[in-house]
Amino acid sequence: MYIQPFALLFASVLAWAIIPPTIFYAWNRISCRMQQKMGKKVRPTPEFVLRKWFFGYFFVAAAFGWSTVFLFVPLIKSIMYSLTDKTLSPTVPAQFVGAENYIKIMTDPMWWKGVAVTVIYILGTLPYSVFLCLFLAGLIVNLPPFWQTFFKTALYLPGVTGVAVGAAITRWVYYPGDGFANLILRKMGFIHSNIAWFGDKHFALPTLIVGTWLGVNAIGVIIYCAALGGIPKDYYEAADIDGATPTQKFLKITWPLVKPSTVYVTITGLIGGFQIFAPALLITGGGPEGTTNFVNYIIYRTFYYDNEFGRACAMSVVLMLVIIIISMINYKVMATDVEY
Amino acid sequence: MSNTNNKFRIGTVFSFLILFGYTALALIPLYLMVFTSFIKLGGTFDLDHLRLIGNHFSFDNYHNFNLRVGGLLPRWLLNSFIVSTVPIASSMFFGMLAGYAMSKIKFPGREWLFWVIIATMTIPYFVTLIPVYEMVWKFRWVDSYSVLIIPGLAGIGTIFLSKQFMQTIPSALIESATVDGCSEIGVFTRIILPLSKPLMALLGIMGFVGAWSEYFWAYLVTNSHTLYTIQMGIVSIIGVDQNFAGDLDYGEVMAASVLASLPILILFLVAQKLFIKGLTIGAVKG
Repeated sequence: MYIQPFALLFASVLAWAIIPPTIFYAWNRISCRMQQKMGKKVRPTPEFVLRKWFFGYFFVAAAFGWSTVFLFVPLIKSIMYSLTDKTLSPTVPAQFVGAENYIKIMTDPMWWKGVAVTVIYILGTLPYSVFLCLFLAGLIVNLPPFWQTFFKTALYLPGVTGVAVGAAITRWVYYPGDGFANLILRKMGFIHSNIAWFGDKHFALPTLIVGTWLGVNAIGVIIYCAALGGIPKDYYEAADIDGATPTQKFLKITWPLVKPSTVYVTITGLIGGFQIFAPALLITGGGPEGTTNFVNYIIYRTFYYDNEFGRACAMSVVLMLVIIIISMINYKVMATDVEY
Repeated sequence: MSNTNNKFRIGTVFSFLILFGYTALALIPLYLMVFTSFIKLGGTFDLDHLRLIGNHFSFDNYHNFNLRVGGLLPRWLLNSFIVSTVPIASSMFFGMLAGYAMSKIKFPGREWLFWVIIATMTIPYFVTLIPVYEMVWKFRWVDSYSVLIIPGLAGIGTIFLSKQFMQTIPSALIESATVDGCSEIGVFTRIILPLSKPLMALLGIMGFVGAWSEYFWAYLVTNSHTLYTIQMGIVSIIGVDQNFAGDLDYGEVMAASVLASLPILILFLVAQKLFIKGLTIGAVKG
């Protein structure tokens, strides 16, 4: 069946512009009339207020109409597909299979290995990244403004090159023959023969993790800089007068006051970490022996190569649930905000 | 007094040392990229290749890469430029329109819509990707410009920042304009848009950088070489799903990488203050 895409998009935008305000308008008028009939003295909402409702929805219609087609409906579809054996083929109708996809995933050793690899990656990178960012930010905020900008910019620079370029460079740095990493390490005497970084099952994941360390999560640095810069200097002066040690100052003043930033960096790191994908696609291909077979890469292979849309959707729904739980924990932690 | 001064100085020196060390480590890959793109590797790589003096620098790698991909390099750069300007400009406009409505026009359901925006922020990419991928096949958009451009023409991603920004514009301005007989659309084009220039710069730059670095959607839905973006060109040349194509000339790959990252590197360096501001919104407190 061919769907005229432009008609669909147009209808979606038009629906957003017309249907909700009309319903609210009608409801407002009817309820007003009803209350008047019941003998209550109600003043009808003035016409210019009601007209604003139409303008409001008219203005949000394009954004929400587009998102309906490309975000909201696909989200619902994804959950529906996860209960069927859907494929890309339009001629084969999808059969409802209930929870079979989910049961298959939960009993699939490859999936669990993928989860383990992803969690190892997160545990290997996230704590390091948080403390390194805090440490570097702590050094940066005490510098003159020019150097603050300089280091923030320089540390962020590698991050803007883009994922594909980053992967190309990573492959070049960790070239299995006489690549840069091998040459440097050999010259320094750490290794005697070349290492096939991403071709060796003992080295692939650790190399990715160390590569992430060296890349420095500069967003974290920038966020911590802003947070540390916001702490009033009096706190430290007061602590100095009371004779606090640097450790005490860090534990009792700095750490509690940058907590919102720590939560933010941790949560975005967790959400991003669970969606780690590019290294598997562009560098290792999930190998060797599945040691970099991240969850998202499994999903990608399931729908793109195996053409099992149903199962891939079930996997992504599981991933979504994990991320929603993390976000809710985030919300709970953030609710106990620190005032200063 | 002199004691604390001394301490402060030593601390600063150490700070500089550590920071310079770490920055150098973080910048090695970039340095290597730029360097490799200008030298002739000739089969093997050696640390001698990294000398600044006595090396032969040339644009051969750039030229050879263009030859290898059949002269399509300018086309790829043009494609990248198109897909990272047209959808971004359009979605920015509609996002600001919606942001204006959600911050300055009172209508029922507004809080609900805002809640929807917040809730959809946490949805993983792959959840919606699979049905959208299926849908663009049904639309017969696969392997055309439509699939690269039309899905991005509008969206709710830019609304949050727009709303936060426009809340700071005083409502009295809008009211006085309305009293003077300005229509709702007039208020938006004559008052809100001129006052939102910083917002436009922020959304535009972050959107451009994001769209320019995008490779995965292009990888999924384009086959024709003439439709590749420069990122997709790199992905195709490094050979996805192979464990290291050994005979790859990394000089050429790095040349392409330099071209692919140069526009955003320059843009970032020019507008880094704005960039850094954009990153910290909503992250420091609450």
